[in-house]
Amino acid sequence: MALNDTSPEQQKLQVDAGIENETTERSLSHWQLMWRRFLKHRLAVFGLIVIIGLYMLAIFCEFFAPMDPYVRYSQFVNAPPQRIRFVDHEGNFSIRPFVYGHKSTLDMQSFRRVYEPDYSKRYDLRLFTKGSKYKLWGFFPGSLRFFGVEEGGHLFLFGTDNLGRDVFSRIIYGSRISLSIGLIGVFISLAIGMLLGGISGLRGGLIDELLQRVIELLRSVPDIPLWMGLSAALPPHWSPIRVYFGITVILSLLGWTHVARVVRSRFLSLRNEEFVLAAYAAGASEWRIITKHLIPSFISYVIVSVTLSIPGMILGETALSFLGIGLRPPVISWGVLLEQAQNIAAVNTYPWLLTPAIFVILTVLSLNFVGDGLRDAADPYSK
Amino acid sequence: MVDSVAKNREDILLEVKGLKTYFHTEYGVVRAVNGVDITFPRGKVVGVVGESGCGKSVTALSIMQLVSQPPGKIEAGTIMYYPEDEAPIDILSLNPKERKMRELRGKELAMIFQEPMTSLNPIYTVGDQIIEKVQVHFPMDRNEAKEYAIDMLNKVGIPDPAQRVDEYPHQMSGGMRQRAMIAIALACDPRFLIADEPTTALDVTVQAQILILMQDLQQEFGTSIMLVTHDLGVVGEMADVVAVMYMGKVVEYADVQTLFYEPRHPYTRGLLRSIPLIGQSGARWLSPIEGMLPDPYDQIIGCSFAARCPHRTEQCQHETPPWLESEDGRGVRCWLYA
Repeated sequence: MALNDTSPEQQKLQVDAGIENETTERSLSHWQLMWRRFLKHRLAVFGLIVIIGLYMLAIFCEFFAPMDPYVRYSQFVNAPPQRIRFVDHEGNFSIRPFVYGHKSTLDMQSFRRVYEPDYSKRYDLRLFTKGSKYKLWGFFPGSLRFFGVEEGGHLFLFGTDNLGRDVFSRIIYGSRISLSIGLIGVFISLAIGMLLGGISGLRGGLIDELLQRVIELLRSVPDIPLWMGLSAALPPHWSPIRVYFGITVILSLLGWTHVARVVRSRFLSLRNEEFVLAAYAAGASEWRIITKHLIPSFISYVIVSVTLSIPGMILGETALSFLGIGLRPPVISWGVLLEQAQNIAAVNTYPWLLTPAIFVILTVLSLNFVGDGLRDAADPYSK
Repeated sequence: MVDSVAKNREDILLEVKGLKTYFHTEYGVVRAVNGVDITFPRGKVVGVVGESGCGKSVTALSIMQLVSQPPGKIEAGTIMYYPEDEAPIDILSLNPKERKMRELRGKELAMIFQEPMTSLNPIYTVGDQIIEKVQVHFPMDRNEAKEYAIDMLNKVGIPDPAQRVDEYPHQMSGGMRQRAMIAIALACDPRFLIADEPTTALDVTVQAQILILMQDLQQEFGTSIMLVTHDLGVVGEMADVVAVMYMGKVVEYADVQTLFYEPRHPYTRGLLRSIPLIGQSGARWLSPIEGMLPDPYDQIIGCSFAARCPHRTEQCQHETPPWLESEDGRGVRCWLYA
C-alpha cells in the first residue's frame, strides 16, 4: 500500500537517485526475468553466441565450407595445414591474406611425402568467392562461398586426410550431422520423457512404480555397451539417412530417462500446490490445469535439463562413429572424421586429423555453459 | 430468537447430510469426517469452528468434491444444493471430473484458501488468473474479461486496479493477494463461498480489513458463506450461524448469539472458556480443555469427547450420543440434553 501512496514526484526522485523501485520490475513476465538473469551470466552468453555460430555453420555448411568435402586431391594426400600469410617469402606485406600452394617431394628414407610451400603458387583469400558448385540443403544450386581462393587453387586450412580431402570443409559439413543429431535426439527424448514422466507423476500408483523401475534398469546399464549392442542391430543394408535416424533413436531411447525424472518430480511437487487446488476450485478441467498451470511452471527446468543433455547426445554419436558402429562414410560427422585419428601413428604424423575434436570440445563446453546459465536463471532464488 | 437458522425448506441453499469422508492410509483409516450434518441458509454466513484435525477443511473440500482420491474417499452422505430456480442437485452424485461438477465449481460454489502466498499461480499476472476463470465459465472475449477483472479488483479494494491487473502475485503484499483471491472467488458471482481460514495467514490489522471486505461483499452479492476457522473471534464478528465440530462430527449448531451466550455442549463451553477476554478481572485464568485429542486412527466407542468431558457419565463412554434438535433449529450432540 505504501508504495502506491508515493506521489509521482517521489517516484521520480527515487528513479533519479538510482533506487531500483518496483516500477522497473513491473509487468516483466517469468521469461523476461529469466532472460535478464541469463544475460548476467557472462560465460553462458559467450557459450550461446558460440553455439549460435556453430549452428549457423551447420545450417549453411555448403556456403561456409571453402572446398568441396568429397573431392579428393590425390596429389595432396595427408598434406599439412597451409599457413595464412600476410607477408610473402621476400618480405613484402600484403593487406590481403593469402596462402602458398603445396609442393611435395618423396622422402626416400621413410617413403612419405614431404610438403613444402610452393612460393610460385600464391592463392589470395577472398570473401564471397565463386567456388565449386553445390546444392544448398540438396535443393538450391549455388556456387557462392563465404570465403575461399580463386578457382584452380586449393585451401587446406586444417590440412587434408589420407584421401586428400580438405579437413576444414569436412568438419563444417560434419557439424550438420553431429549438431543436428543432438537436437533431434533431445526432442525425441523430450517427447518420450514428458509423456512418460507426466503419466508417472500424475497417475502414480502401479504405473509410476513400473516406469521408475524401467528407468532405473535403463540407467544401470553402461551406456557404451548398450549403444553398441543396439547399433550393431541396425541392418547393414540401411541407407545412411536411415542409419542416421536409427542412431538418433538409439541415443534418445536412453536420454529420455533424465527428462522423465525431472518432469515426474515437478508434477509430484506441483500437484500439491495450493494454486492447483485453487484452479480446480475455480472449475478448471484437469487438462487445462496440466497445460496452463503445471507445464508452464516447470518448463524452464525441462529446458535446462534438455540443454544439458544435448552434449551427451553429441558425444554419444561421436563415440559410436569413432568406434565404427555409428555412422559410416561417406556420411560426414565429427565422429566419422575422428575415426581416422584412431591409431597413434596417424595422430603422431598427421596431428591435424584431430582438429574435429576441438570442435566437439568447443560445442560441448559451450552447451554446458549455456545450460549452467539457464539453470541459474531458472531458479528464482539464485542471486 | 433464532431467526438466522433456516426453518423453511426455501431458505436452505446447501444441505450436508450424513457426510462421511475417510482417508485410507498405510497406517489405517482416518475418519476425518464421520457423519456431518450442516445446513447452510441462503444469504447467511455459517461459521464452522473446531480444532486442527476436526474435519472442518475436509468437509469444505468434500462440498467442492476436491478431496484427493486416493487416499481420500467420500463413503456416505448427501450434499444437496438448491439453486434458486432449478431442480436440486446432489453434488455427491456427480463425477468430480465431469463437466457438470466443473461448471458448479467456480460458477456456483467458490473457495478462498488459507495461504494467499501460494494459492495464486506465480507465473501469471493476477489479471490473467481472473480472466482465465471468467473465460472458463462465460463466453467473454479477452477485452471484456479484462474489464471485468479490473472491475472485480476495484470491488475488493485494490488501489489502482487498471495497473495492478497486470502485476504478478510476487509484486503484491499478503493482504493484497488475499484480496485478489477473493476477487477470483467472487468472479462469476457464485451463490456459495467457502472461505477456508481466509485470514489465518495475515497480520491482525489486515485480518480486520479482509473480514470487513468479506462482510461488505457478502451484503452486496448476497452470497452464502461457509467460514471455516478456528478463531472464535472471527466467528463472532462474521457469522450468523455456527457449527462446532469435534473429531469429524458436528457437536453443536446454533445461531451465533445463542452459541456465545448459552453454549450447550461441554466442548463448546470449553472452547469459549479458553479465549482470553481483555478487561475481565484478573481473577479468572484461562482454562484450557483437559486432555489431548484422541489418536485419529482410533475408532472411538461412545461420545468422542467423553475422555475430556467434565460431565461424562457411564453412558457417554459406551453409547454414541444422538443429534438432538430443538424446534428453533439449534442442535447439540450430547447425552446431557437427552
